[in-house]
Amino acid sequence: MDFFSDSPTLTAAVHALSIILSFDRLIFLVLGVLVGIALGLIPGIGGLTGFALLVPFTYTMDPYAAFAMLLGMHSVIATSDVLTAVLFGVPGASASQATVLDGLAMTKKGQASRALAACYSSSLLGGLIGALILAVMLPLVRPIVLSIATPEILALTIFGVAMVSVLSGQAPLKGVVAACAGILISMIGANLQTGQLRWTGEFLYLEDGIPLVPMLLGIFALPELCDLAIQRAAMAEVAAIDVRKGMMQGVRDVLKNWLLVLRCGGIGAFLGMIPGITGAVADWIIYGHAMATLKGAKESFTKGDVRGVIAPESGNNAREGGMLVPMLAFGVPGGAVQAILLGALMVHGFSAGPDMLTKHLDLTYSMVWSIALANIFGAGLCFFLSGSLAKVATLRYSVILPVILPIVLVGAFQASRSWGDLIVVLVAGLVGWTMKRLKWARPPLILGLVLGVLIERYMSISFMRYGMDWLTRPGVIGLLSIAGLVFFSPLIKLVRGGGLSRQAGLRFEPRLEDLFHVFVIGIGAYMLVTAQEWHFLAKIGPTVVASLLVIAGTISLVGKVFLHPAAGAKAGGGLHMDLHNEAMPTRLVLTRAARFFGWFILFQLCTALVGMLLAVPLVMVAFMRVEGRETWRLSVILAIGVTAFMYGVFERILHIDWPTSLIA
Amino acid sequence: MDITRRTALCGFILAAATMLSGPVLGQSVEEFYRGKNLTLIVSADAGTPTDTIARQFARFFVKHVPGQPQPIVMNVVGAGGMVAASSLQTKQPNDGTVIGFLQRNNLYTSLLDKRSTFDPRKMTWLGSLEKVHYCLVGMTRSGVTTADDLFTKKMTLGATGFTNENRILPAMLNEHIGTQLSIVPGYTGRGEVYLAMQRGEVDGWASTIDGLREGEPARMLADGSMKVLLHLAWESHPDYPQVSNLSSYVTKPEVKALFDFFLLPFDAGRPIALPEGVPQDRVDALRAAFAKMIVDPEFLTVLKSIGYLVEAVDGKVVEDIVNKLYATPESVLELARQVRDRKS
Repeated sequence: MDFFSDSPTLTAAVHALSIILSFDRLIFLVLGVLVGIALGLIPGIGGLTGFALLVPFTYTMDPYAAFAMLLGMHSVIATSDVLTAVLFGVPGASASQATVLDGLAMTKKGQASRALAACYSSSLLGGLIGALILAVMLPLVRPIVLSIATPEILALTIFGVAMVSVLSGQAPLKGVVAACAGILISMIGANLQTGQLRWTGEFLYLEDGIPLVPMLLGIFALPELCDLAIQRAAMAEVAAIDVRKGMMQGVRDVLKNWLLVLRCGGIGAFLGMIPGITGAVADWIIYGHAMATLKGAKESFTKGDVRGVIAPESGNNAREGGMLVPMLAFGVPGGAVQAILLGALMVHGFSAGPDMLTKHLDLTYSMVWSIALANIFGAGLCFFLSGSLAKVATLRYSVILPVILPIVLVGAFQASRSWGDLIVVLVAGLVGWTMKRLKWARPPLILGLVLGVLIERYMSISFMRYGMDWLTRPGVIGLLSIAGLVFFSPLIKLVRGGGLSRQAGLRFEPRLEDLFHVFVIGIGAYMLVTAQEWHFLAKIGPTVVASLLVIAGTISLVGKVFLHPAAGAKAGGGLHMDLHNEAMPTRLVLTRAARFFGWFILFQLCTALVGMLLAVPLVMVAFMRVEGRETWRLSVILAIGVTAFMYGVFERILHIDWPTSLIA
Repeated sequence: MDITRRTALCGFILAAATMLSGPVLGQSVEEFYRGKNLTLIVSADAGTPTDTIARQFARFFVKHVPGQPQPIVMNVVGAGGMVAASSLQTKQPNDGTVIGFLQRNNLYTSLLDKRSTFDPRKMTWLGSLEKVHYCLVGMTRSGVTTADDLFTKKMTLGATGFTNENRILPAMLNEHIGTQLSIVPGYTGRGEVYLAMQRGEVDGWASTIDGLREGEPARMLADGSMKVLLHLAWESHPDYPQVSNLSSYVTKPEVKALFDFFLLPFDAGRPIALPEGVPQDRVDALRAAFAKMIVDPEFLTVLKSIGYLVEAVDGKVVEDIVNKLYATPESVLELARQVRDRKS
């Protein structure tokens, strides 16, 4: 290979390693890693906040140390953000959303330590693969990036949305409805192409669209926490397996699936190179890819298959390397993160662009090494902590809930630091819990939310610029064909297997839960009607998607009300992260759920009244005393601890505005 | 157990008292700022050019404020800076501890959008670090190499958001002086637009002059693959003196007034504001600090190293711009609304 015979490149790589391995630079790398790990643990706080914290320190540092610290911080966020995802179903950042599905299921099976160990090992390997791919590809990246135009990016996002059929299990229609609903939600706000305000009403908040993080927390995290409150148990439903054994098992799992790690790492690094493909998008493409291609994955994924955490975790750490490509090779930032790095480069007197691949190759390779070393440090540290952290999953709900809930709320609030975020997380939580209870797959909703806005954006650019010709590009044809295959093959299999024909009885038998169908269809119809008065470019997307929702929803509803499975047929499965404990009477479930959301609303009311910093201890103590009958001592200590933590992190270190309240 | 509770209670009462206690009267400005935080509300997200400049501003500005307060940067994002602007106007304390790093559209958005309640006339303006200069750039391969070509040859421009200047200005050229531009909005940022230009997807865009000084754009200009076609201003910028400007093409008074409406705020690049009602001695001290900072050689060097040349204006200039904008006749505002909010 050219790279290995190309001695200047190799020399630069070796030289860069010797530069970065000096103590005074390594120490900054480690510092960055520690900050990154801490940030990853708190939902809603991501790399940008980290940069805002660290960048000011770098102006006076030498450039190698500065980039070691910044990249060290950023590289490990995707490593540590899995902790809350695996233990509580709370995605620490948008790149850990797919990890929730199997990670949490494993925790429930008592395999938290195994899941965490697998996450960290695959993060480590993925990060190294990403760095390696970046290192080897650097001399060649310009033509590769230039060959990917908007139509190819569009095809890639369509490919992503085609995963919906894989992610919907045996309830493809409901999956399509959920995905359409997600896309419609993503379309709320000012339309980029026409300036049309879509479904924003009088709310300034909605103009920028509904942010992802509160939606994620509401759809994924709140339902899990609510069910924890309903079951009044620990997160782990089965006694945990021996921690040490679990950890070793996790590492073995990763090594056994080395091919998967390699593949997902490669895809992650490639997706990272494309500006516009965010971490959330990459996460789902990788997860869907693993689910579609691995043996038996369609049955076992989301039910606690370790491969379901290995795939996304190896992919999103590998992305880190790929993300540097547009900035280094072209001198143009692919996103906010790269913009900051670019700014930092310029402060140190480097001009990003082709020079970075020739004149300053050693600096470029020092960045590659920084990413690699950060992954080793970060994953190593997380790995050794994971044993004790995994035990948290065995704590009782009345101690876990009051700690996690304020963090979920403050995390959601980081999206736009507006009350709107708190309302969104509540509404999304109610919807998410209903979906979970009624066995609707939630991943398609998030998939639609993440991809809908991109598809519309890139589709309009493609049509405006290329007319219909964009469909004839070879890359597009290839990607769309695969997308078609991915979308239709599970359906075909389902039909062939008789999954859809095993319905025998034809009688009218509506149930109360069918009202949710009616509700969703109603919203879709309302959105369809109200969209009609807009400019063509602003309404075409919503019209197509809302029509699809109404049609798919109606067919699904009719099927549910009139057709009933023949005796002996398996009831519709699907990816809804099944509840294991269904023995509880419905009335009790509903009462407890109402209590849970009641506490949540009480917390928000208190926040509105006296401010979040006072509401946290007040509601925490009240919750622990009333719900958990915990002692005063424990309640107060825990409340003060959490409040002090929030005050220290958000007020003193991050300087973040709190939600407005009547007093204070 | 009881002691813990009482301690906690005392702590909260103390904290609440500190928050509620107002400024003590009879303090000198220096005494007031000593040991305090000076919060800079930035209307853009971390990592954006505005944020980068604001963080440098925060770092150097406090050095010149008597009492050297601690700088704190707070990103308040949303609605093109309007969230930060209204937060500064209605939510933040007006004792001189909070400064807003706003965006120039905040100076006129309320005139065009009746839902917006922010009133720039009710702010105390410190000034702006820079004036913004826009120009059209195009790839030479498109065949459009001069301003005159814009009227005879078709060219595709990339743009970001619909209400962004990089879409509004070219759209006004099309609408009012007859250029043949086809504008494709929807790119997420300038990085994506330049990549699209290099791979032949679009041929150009409306860029700031600042944005041409470094990196890929500078290289593309140097190797001749890209050219500056037209200054979107009444005068040509000294960096490209030979390139035409709008004055040769815009002649009708009403159209001129429309262009003025969008061009005027450029002189207040990123306006810096205080809420109304800050005690005068503190306003004076902050204005003096601003004046000292913009000639601080270290500050100028740092900003230059990240591609920004300081071209500061003082608070009076921003105030004048606001007053001129608010004197715009309704007929021109209607035209401006049409180009900014066109629905059909």
